[in-house]
Amino acid sequence: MAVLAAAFSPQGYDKVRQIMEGDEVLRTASGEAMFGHDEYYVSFLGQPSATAPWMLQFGGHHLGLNLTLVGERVTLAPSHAGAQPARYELAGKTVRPLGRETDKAFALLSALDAAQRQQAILGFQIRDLVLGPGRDGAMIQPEGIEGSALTEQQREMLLGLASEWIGIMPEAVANAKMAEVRQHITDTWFAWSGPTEKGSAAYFRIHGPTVFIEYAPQRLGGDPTQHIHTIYRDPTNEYGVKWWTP
Amino acid sequence: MVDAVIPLLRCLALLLGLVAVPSLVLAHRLDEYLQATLVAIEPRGVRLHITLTPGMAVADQVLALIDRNRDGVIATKEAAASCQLLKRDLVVRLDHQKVELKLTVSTFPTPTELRTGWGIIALAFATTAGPLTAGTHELTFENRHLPTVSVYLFNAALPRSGAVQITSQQRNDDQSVGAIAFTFLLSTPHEPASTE
Repeated sequence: MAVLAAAFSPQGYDKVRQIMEGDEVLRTASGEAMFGHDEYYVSFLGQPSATAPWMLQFGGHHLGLNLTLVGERVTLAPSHAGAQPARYELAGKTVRPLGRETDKAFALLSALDAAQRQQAILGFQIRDLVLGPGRDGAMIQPEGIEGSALTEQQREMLLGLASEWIGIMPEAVANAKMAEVRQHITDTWFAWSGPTEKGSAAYFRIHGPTVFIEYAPQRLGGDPTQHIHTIYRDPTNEYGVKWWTP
Repeated sequence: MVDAVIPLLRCLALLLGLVAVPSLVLAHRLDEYLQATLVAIEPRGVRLHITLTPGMAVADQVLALIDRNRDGVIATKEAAASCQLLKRDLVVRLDHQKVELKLTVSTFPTPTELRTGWGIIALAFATTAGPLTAGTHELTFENRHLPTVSVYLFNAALPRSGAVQITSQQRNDDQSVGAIAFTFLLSTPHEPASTE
């Protein structure tokens, strides 16, 4: 865990721990040995180096973080974070590993006026991640409402929402990535599918030139608000490819 | 020095590609069969990239259509036959004319992996419509394969060619039916060739 604490931001490390704790809750409730603390793995790909490319991978159920490092440059793309249960009690406190993501998304949706909502809300179900596993290297046509149609305040809310994934990385790296996303904010789309009542199970997506994030509640085996999959991608730099491809 | 490093980077790229991707698969499917279609529209033609992910609870039902002799191995002929079954259930039209599909890529995990909810069958179909003509077009798609257990996704891929512009996408509620309207502009001499 010390490696993870060093590799991620305090916010990112807390998220990792909360997802793992949730998986332990799932193991206890289900009796399935495939879940729980002990089923998470750390991998090093390549030789850790101050200059050459290498990768730190950490994952288990509902977690697949791929940190590619090339000198001082770092990317988290592509990575998966999920939660099941997405809300649980631990030491007398309610824990929501993806709670800020959920709350910020509903806040942004609430901040849209009727005409903006009409653009943002897609009129069909999206039951899973569109660019999840098996879709490396693919990219879809953007949909929803474009950043150019948002107010300054709404753009800040969109950036704040994206920061929940980007902020898993160490602060300096996350700040640089956020600056890049901000630069393209008017070309960044926000899309929503599903109910709009706060706390309901709804899908959303952030899609910009250098960032692609999906949040997809799962209907698998129960309450979809308790089972969330998300993915973080960078259409220009999956696995840090732009830094080490000749 | 740079020349010496490049092969190492290529090896690392391969390593990352092979090892990193499975970590994204660790949230397994349970009781649904995900059928996701990505439509790549390029000047040379249209391709469908379809991924099929059976959940653990429906894997045996799906495998019964693939591993027909139930020997625990997906033979080449069995894989081909299951692709035909899927193809039979897909209806694709370009500008209201039904187009045929030609299977170009198919990869099948083992039955054991498919039963975990992590295994993904990846298929690609080319349409026989041929190169696009300049102007506006509409592609419609319907997937009738195993509707009682399936969840569908239908999306246009971001075109790699600037000559193709997606103008709208429509779906029914469960995305088993969709339509993509697009414009193909005559490409310039500088238009990069499609790698599809």
